[in-house]
Amino acid sequence: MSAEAPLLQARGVVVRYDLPRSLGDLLSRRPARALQAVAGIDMSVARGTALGIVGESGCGKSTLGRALIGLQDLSAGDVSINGLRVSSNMPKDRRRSMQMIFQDPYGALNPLLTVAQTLSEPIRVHRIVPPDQVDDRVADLMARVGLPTDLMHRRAGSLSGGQQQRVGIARALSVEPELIVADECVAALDVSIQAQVLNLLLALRAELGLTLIFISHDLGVVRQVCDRVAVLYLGRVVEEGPTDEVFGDPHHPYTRTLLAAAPVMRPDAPPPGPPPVGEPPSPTDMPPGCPYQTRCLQAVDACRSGPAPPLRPFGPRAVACHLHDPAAARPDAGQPRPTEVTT
Amino acid sequence: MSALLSVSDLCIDVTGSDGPMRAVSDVSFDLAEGEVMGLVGESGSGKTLTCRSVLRLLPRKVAITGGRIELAGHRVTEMTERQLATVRGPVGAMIFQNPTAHLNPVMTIGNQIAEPVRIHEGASRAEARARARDLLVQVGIPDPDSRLDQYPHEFSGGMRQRAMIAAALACRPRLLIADEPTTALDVTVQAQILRLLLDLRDSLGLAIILVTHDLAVVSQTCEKVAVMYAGRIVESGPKPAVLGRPCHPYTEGLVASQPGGGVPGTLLKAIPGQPPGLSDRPPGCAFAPRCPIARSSCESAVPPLESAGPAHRTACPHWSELGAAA
Ligand SMILES: Nc1ncnc2c1ncn2[C@@H]1O[C@H](COP(=O)(O)OP(=O)(O)OP(=O)(O)O)[C@@H](O)[C@H]1O
Ligand SMILES: Nc1ncnc2c1ncn2[C@@H]1O[C@H](COP(=O)(O)OP(=O)(O)OP(=O)(O)O)[C@@H](O)[C@H]1O
Ligand code: SF4
Ligand SMILES: [Mg+2]
Ligand SMILES: [Mg+2]
Repeated sequence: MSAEAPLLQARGVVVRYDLPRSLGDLLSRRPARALQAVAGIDMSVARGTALGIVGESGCGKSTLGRALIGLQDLSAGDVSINGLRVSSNMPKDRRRSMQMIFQDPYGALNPLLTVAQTLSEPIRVHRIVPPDQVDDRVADLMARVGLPTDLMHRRAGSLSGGQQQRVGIARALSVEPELIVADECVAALDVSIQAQVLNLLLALRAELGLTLIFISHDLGVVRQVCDRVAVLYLGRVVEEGPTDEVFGDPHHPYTRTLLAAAPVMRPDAPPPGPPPVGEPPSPTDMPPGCPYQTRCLQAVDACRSGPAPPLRPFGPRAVACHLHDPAAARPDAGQPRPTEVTT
Repeated sequence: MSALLSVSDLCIDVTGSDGPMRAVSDVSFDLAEGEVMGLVGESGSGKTLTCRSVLRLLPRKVAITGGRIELAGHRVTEMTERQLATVRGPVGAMIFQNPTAHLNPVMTIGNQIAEPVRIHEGASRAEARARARDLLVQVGIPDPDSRLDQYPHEFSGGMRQRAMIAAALACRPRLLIADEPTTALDVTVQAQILRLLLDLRDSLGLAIILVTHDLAVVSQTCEKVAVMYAGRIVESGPKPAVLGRPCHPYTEGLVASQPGGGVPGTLLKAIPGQPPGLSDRPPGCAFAPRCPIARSSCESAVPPLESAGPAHRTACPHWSELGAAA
């Protein structure tokens, strides 16, 4: 770990969504209910590194990604980038330095604008290059993300999903940000195009020192791209650490289930084993104790009451599980951990 | 073992604004009872059209223009709509990527599963409901009695996909065509659905065509694989051979570009370029513009499939030059 201050620091981030009140709620004067999508997250991201965020659908990955760069109001906590607090009304130039590649490229692009218009607008607004060089810059960006130049004057709405995704990536890159939050940025792409886009992000990291927060449900992609990974379960980080350590030797029962369920390409792969049990509880009706207790095969009484287990650091890693004793998990102590789940 | 499904020289045209265009060319494959075949390939390569044509469920402006399909002794390509209705359901059934779009939002799950049983088998209401209940149990939906009377929006994504599988199985088909059944789902739910499909194969002898672009899924579930590129099967054969010793440069590129195997932070072996669109497919091998071992002869005529090992076929005449073949 370097002594340099992290680029991004988040403390106690909470995001609640107010749920619409049903007619029944109104009649019986029940108070409005809220869904806690992000339930108190601390994280720090060093400059020039890539942090992966993984977890099941609905666990709060996109909400957290937006919250980290001021695109989502926080219900509690704070985020700072370069030591300055992130908010929804940052000056234009700070806003420029943090960009998001959205999960749904169609929803994030104006379908009536052409590709050239979509890409040139932010370049002009932020005066990235002199006006007479804007067109060259647009062509350059399109080449970088592998969009053929004959698409330049096509409307964004008429492009395929994979092409729209690449326009979204080019637009995020167009303003030369320091930090990019990439939300499922290759999920809509074919494998052969996926590799091209991942290589582009890896190259930008190496060349320009770009910092990446990389949200993906594809564990193979995260393993390839990210130095560190945070595993989310229902709005909380349950395990965090260097990608190769977390994936090579997962400590939290949920991380293990997730890794066991993820198919791996091997010509002689055996058929998948028995699948993980159960579904996550509804985020509006959370059980007491550990949020994972309803599916955890190792849960003990302590897991079923009281507050959720805190994220406890040990070495470069951290785990939020009662059964995990950080003192016993020093590298020289041979990594004892809860008995193996037989999934 | 004689084939349950036999597709030979299938051609499919789609009609665009400037006339018909060939979307699928000369596709042939066989599938035996209880066999699971993976159909993989780039988006737009013709996987869905190939599958839909097996049950003649093609959209408007899309037509089979050549070839023959035989399913359990039925000549699907020559049947009338009326005859097809007796095949769809009891012989072959299909499930789709997006269950929400294929379940009726205003009909209970129970009725959606029971209706085809009443239509095809003349079963009574009570019999059909009992079958629907059994099916929900079979696909692993807990508490089937109350679930029968619920609507699709009351199910989670994974449960909706299970319900669609239950509906597809209602008339005890011998072939199940699953078009990207898990692409929209989490890895944990995906593992549940894939395990379910394999269990059904084991218990019912169901033959399955699994369409996916995920080679990892294929490597865990399929006995054989067909790889499509630009409307043609470019390689097919037993899974261990096709994924372990690919004999077509496109398959080799796909296998090599799988993320996760390499050293973290290092570049992937990407295939440069993009697949051609329907209107600009080149005259020779469609992969030639992206192929690392292409030569000028590749661009003149479409290379035919040739043998590269037991039951292993490739449409690249230069396959012996590939790395893994050495
Ligand atoms: N605008 C909103 N209003 C109310 N609830 C929301 C809103 N956006 C998200 N949610 C809820 O917040 C939770 C977290 O959603 P989020 O989109 O962050 O999850 P995710 O991890 O990105 O999921 P996915 O993998 O499906 O994209 C979910 O329960 C979701 O239904
Ligand atoms: N209804 C239609 N009208 C016109 N063209 C169509 C129609 N359906 C499919 N096509 C075209 O036929 C080709 C093959 O389509 P198909 O849906 O079979 O591809 P696919 O391999 O299933 O792709 P994906 O992985 O994206 O689902 C594509 O170029 C597609 O644009
Ligand atoms: S805290 Fe308890 S319930 Fe939660 S994951 Fe750990 S062992 Fe399981
Ligand atoms: Mg999301
Ligand atoms: Mg398809």
